[in-house]
Amino acid sequence: MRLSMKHISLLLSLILLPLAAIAGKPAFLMEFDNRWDLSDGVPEKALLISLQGVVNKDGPELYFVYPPSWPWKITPAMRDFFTARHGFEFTELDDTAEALEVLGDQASGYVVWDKEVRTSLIVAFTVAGLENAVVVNEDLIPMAEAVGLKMVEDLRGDFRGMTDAEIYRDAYDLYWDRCSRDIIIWMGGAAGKRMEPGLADYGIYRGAFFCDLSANPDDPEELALTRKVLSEQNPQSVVMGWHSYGKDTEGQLTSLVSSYRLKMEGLNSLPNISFHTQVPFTDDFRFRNHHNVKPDERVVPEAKVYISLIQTDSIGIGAWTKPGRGRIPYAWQVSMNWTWIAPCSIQYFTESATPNDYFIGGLSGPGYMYPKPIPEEDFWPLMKEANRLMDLLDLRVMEIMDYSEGNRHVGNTDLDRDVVDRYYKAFPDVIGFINGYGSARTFDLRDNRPMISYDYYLGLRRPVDEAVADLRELIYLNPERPYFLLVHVRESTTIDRVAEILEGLGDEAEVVPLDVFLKMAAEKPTFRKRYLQPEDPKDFNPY
Amino acid sequence: MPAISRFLSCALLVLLSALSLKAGSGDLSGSWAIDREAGTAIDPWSRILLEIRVDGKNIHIGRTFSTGRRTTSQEYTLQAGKTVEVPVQWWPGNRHIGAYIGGDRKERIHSEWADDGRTLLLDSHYILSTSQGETPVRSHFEYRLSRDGSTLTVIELRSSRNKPVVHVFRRG
Repeated sequence: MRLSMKHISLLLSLILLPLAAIAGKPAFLMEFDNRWDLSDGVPEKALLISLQGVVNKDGPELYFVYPPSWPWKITPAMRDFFTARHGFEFTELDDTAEALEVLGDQASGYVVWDKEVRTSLIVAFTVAGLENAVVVNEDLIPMAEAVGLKMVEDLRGDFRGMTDAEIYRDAYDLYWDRCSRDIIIWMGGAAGKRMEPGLADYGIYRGAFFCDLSANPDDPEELALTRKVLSEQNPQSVVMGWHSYGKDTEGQLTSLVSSYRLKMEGLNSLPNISFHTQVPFTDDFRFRNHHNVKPDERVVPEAKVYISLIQTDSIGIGAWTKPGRGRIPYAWQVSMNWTWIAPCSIQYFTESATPNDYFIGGLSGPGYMYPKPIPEEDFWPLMKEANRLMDLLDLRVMEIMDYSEGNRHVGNTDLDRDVVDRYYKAFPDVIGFINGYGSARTFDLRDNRPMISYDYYLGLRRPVDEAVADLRELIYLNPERPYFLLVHVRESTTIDRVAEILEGLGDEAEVVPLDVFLKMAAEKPTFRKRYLQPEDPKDFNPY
Repeated sequence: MPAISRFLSCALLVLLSALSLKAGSGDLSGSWAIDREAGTAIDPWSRILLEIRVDGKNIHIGRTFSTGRRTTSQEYTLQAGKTVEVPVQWWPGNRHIGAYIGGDRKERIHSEWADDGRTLLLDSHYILSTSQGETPVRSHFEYRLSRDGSTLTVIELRSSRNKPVVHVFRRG
């Protein structure tokens, strides 16, 4: 057998693994392309992601760099961060066969999914986590067997002609008892011929149950099973992934999850979490937020228009790595559970923040939740946890979003008086609250701590001239000065584009950091207090 | 068919067409689908459908906005030459901005036909509620039919907005 330099290098890497503590941390890396069709790209990537979940059970060993179009934008930046701050030394793997050759012996075998039944792949991920197996379709069996892996389960033919409700009922009967009660994976998102299972490694790593069950009342059988699995998870545990675009809405699933006092953490495409979760903060790391005011400071506004900008939807899927960051004050909503799910990501964002980047907590609590469906008795322990995370992360602003009675198109995203009362009671140390996603109309001020809703939603496709006209219209309709105009910037919108829009306003407005904005709004509140009213439109996300 | 019958049928058709135009027009009647590329951006919606029915002086306008799984509709009936009050559940003018129907949640709409029935003029008065309070707003709409009857251009001049809103619809 002739060994190439590549093989020699890989063998050396394996030999050196036990010496990690001395000579840096060896790990393997592969770059993914952008093919995510079930018949083109997904079979091999599903195998690799399952391999990642299996091998990372013994420590962070396998990392993937995703393409620029992937929703989570920072896999190259995190690779560099792991190298620079944690001393990882990555050896690149060329293809699936090589990955199996190098790392396949850590798997106990393979599970075969059925090419004719998309859902069988989701079930196969559950089996992979329980059996320490990789997932293959029948075309990839020879590749798995070439490295000595044996079949541990064959799903071919098991589910043909069955509905998803029937398939998941079978999976529940067979595997549920052995699955985690702390994590469940919603392998939703793209539907039909496409699947983007970036999060599957973490589900396998944690031995989670995988599904993309519907929360839509139009699917009563699936909804019944959705309720059953959610009701059997541990209180305050996490639902990771995303709803299926082919079955229901974000609002429907998140409303349901919230009603079972569970925490949603997106997305189905979130990559490398089995790796991230095992890389702790470095010893020299300290959380620090770029506060611009002291908690008890007073800031007197002038008679002008003040604009503050927030990007929600979590940091990693947005504009963090795009040009322009640091150019203007910007607030970023942090997924607070990353302190334990992916601590290294939190460290990366904190250390790469500019003085104009200000972090806030959200969404609505310790995870993505809607407050209106949360039973009141469960609200308090959840928000206690949110307070703990905010304190840990040096966050002083809580952002709230509720799509249980509408969204940015229809219905409302407002809070009734009782819910607002609860937030003020539960978060005595915040300097203010943000509400909405699109524009909303819940406003309050208590103890110099305002609750302000978004007055503007800057969509991805909004033309610059229309956005300028929108902001001018708001300025006309709100004639008192100061006017506090809070803007939600949709995740992928670049800061350069936002700056161009704001320049279109000329001297009419000043952009200020969010904490300064809240302090000034508290000093001279020109907004009217308002809560959800009975006559406000409702468009329920039934659950 | 005897020649006299053919002649009477044609004459009746011509007469009905003429009456239709005179009444001010049935030509706007029908289903209209937005041409997104031809006018002002319609985000956050991806589709807007218009359903117009003209019945004598009554003008029935239905608007359906949709995106993804979300669809919502509004409809009202106007009377040419008169001002009517129309209840409004939500204001569709701009879903990006924090402005909502206020006051008594009604629009007062005056409608007129112009250009021999090819243009419908609406003047709508209503109150918008924002974070600082309420502001009276006037919207002037022109529903303008193209000469070939295939395109309906809806222009809105809103007193609160410097920029006109232009939506172009194709007959469905």
